[in-house]
Amino acid sequence: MKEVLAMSKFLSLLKLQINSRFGLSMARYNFRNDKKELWKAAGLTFIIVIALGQVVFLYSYIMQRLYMAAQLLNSPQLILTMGASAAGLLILFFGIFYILGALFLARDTEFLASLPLKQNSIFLSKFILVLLGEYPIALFLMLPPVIIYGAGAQKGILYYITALICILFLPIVPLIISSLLSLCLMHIVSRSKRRDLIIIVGSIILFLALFVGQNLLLSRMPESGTEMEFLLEILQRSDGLVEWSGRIFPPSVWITKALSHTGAEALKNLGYLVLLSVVSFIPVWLLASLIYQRGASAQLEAEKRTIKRKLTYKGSSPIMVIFKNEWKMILRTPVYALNSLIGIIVGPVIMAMPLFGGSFAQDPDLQAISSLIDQFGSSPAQVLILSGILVLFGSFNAAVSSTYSREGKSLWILKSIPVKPQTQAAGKLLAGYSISLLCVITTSLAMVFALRLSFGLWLSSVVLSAAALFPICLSGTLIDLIRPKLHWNNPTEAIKQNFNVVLGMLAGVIIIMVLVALCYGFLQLQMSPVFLYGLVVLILAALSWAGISILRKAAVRAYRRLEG
Amino acid sequence: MIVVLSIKNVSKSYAKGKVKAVDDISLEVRPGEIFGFLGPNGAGKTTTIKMITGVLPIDTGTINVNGHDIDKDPIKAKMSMGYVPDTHDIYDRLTGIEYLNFIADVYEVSRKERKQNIEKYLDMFEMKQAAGQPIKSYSHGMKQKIILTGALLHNPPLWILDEPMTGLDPKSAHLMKEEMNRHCQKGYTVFFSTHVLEVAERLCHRIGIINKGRIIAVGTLDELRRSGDKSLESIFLELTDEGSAGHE
Ligand SMILES: Nc1ncnc2c1ncn2[C@@H]1O[C@H](COP(=O)(O)OP(=O)(O)OP(=O)(O)O)[C@@H](O)[C@H]1O
Ligand SMILES: [Mg+2]
Repeated sequence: MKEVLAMSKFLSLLKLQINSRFGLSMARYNFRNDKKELWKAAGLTFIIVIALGQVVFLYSYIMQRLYMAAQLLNSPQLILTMGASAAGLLILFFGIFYILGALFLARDTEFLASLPLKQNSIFLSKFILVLLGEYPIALFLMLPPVIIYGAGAQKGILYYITALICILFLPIVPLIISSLLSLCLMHIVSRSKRRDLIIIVGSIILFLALFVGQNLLLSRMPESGTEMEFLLEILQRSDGLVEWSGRIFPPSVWITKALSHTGAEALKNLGYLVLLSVVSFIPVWLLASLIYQRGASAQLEAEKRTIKRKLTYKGSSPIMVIFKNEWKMILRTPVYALNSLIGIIVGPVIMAMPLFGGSFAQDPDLQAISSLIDQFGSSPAQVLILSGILVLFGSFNAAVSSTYSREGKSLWILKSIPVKPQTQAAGKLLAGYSISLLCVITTSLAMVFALRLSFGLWLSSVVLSAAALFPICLSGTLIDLIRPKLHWNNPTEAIKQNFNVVLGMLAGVIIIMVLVALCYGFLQLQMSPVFLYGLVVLILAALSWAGISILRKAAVRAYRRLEG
Repeated sequence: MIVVLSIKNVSKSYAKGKVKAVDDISLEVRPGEIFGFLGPNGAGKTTTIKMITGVLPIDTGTINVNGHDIDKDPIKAKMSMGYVPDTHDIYDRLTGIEYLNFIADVYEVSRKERKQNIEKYLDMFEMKQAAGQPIKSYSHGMKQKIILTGALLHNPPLWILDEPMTGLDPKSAHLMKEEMNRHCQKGYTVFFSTHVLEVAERLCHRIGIINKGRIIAVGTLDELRRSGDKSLESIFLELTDEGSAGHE
């Protein structure tokens, strides 16, 4: 009886969280009251489907090619391993931010703490909430290989059912690891004074540790014999290649075997997956029932410095006020800091990987880059390639395309202050742009060491990528301005679970592709370097100018329209 | 003597800092009593209430609600309380009725009682129409009414409110005061913080005044007056002024 009651309480909690997180009631209400809303939603869904459809198509195409290549190696099931490891790793790396956001930095912590609910029920409901949010990624990465392999091997209904079970269990282990890490981190945080700082530094360290740990796992090379013998041996065993490439994320090997084998072998591997998920959840759940609430409550308490700081009353220009305010908000909200500034750290880490040895040193991509650079000597092509890489890193900046969303319920402040919307947009754009610039600088410095660039090469690629990033950041800001996501319950939703961020990056990639195509064309024309740079800069300036005038108009219109 | 709420030597400083938001306070509240908790801004009222309701961990001391220790037996203690916080930052995207049903589930209110109570309060506050709409579309006062209703669904022995008057229109404020009276006539207890001294003067059986984290006076209005026929306002100003001047 008591258990039944506890269970129904828990289900009620879960229902509430899902409803609130995905805005189900809100959508129903909007549709009923306002038919236009329905059309808007339908239109948006259409755009999203088209945009995602292209990505899915591209991914499926790559998988198809890989499938054909893997067939030649006699292990077509390899694409399942690849899909599963990609999904597993992605969820592992980024899960830590989702989990931190949902478990510890959510706005409903205080409300939930006042209710007669066990802390492990609250933990479980939030865990499930994050898990549900991960399924789209798991489905996106797994379905194409599952279908390609299934069609190729002419699998039956049982195969697809097994695949579904595998996809359901795939994100659990990575999320358990993330939960464990964040529970421990927040436990330490709740016992210390400088909380925000420790959260930011701590989770960046965790992120890097995961990254390096994974790299070590990958670099476990054969103990004896030459590489050639090792490869031969791998190829001779039936699942050798699968096991070798799945060592980066062991559950992916089980998933592959559960799907490619039949009978007892398949069942055994499916069993491993399910068992590991369930068994590893138990200790984390028990730990949560001891330390979750403390860590969450600690987030309600602000640090009060005993050192008296002088209050400053210095004035700044309106643009600078907005710019500084953006930076303050980002630095003082751990979730924002993490998501916005991660590129500044990850970029150089990836670039510096060759210095540490390990498998990334043998990473074909990096080797390709470095040989490309060598090949061209000090020609403009070299500058263009380096800038292209820098722009790519700099454009993965979540701060830009969530700048209005992050205001959330406080948007009224922006609307009510006597600063022109255009000026505000400029301040916000500059703040986001400065983050991209920082990323370019740190990444390029790592490149200087890793690839031994000359000063001239470094300077010209930094300048060129800075120029190219401006219109890219502009487009991100514009996207968020037009349709900001203002209703959220925890800051993670504003930046991580915000579709504008995805759209912004997509737009960035499109701009980059166009620029790359143009530059490629120019190179073919054998122009003189001065003329070529001049042309590129001219194009970028024109793009920026057009972007600025659009942004200004859009800002005025958006401020009139948005209800905040 | 039976007590519904007992606070013993409780202290709290935020984020492990040196400044104490609540400094060694002790307090007992009895059944059938309306207890008013007064104090200037930043005195520690909200902090105390959050510790009673289990939202904030206590640094030292103990709090018992209806005989259950909030730290050791939080579920039982929370089941005996209904809490109306000072902010209304709750699930905006839910409808009012969804929120109320959730609260009823969590506090284990039976179907029958749930229907009866929800209907009664929605009628009383004229919220029947709004209940089906998202909380986001509510005004400040409407949100307050939904939270008030939620806190009363399970007939809590201890009803705790943090500045409940802010934002209510005169009629709703009146209804709420009546509801407080009715609650204590049933033998239950009301504990609330407020800045509206006239309300405290008229409604409360006993009053506690907190300043800078310390309780500086507790008692009935007559006891606080000590002598003469001073208004609560002049008592309040005198007491809290003394505190800040530093001679106790
Ligand atoms: N979340 C928090 N983090 C850090 N310090 C806090 C926090 N909340 C309150 N404080 C500090 O604790 C002290 C007591 O605050 P509290 O909110 O309890 O006052 P209050 O009596 O409710 O005031 P008011 O009448 O303004 O609501 C104040 O000094 C305040 O600065
Ligand atoms: Mg208060």
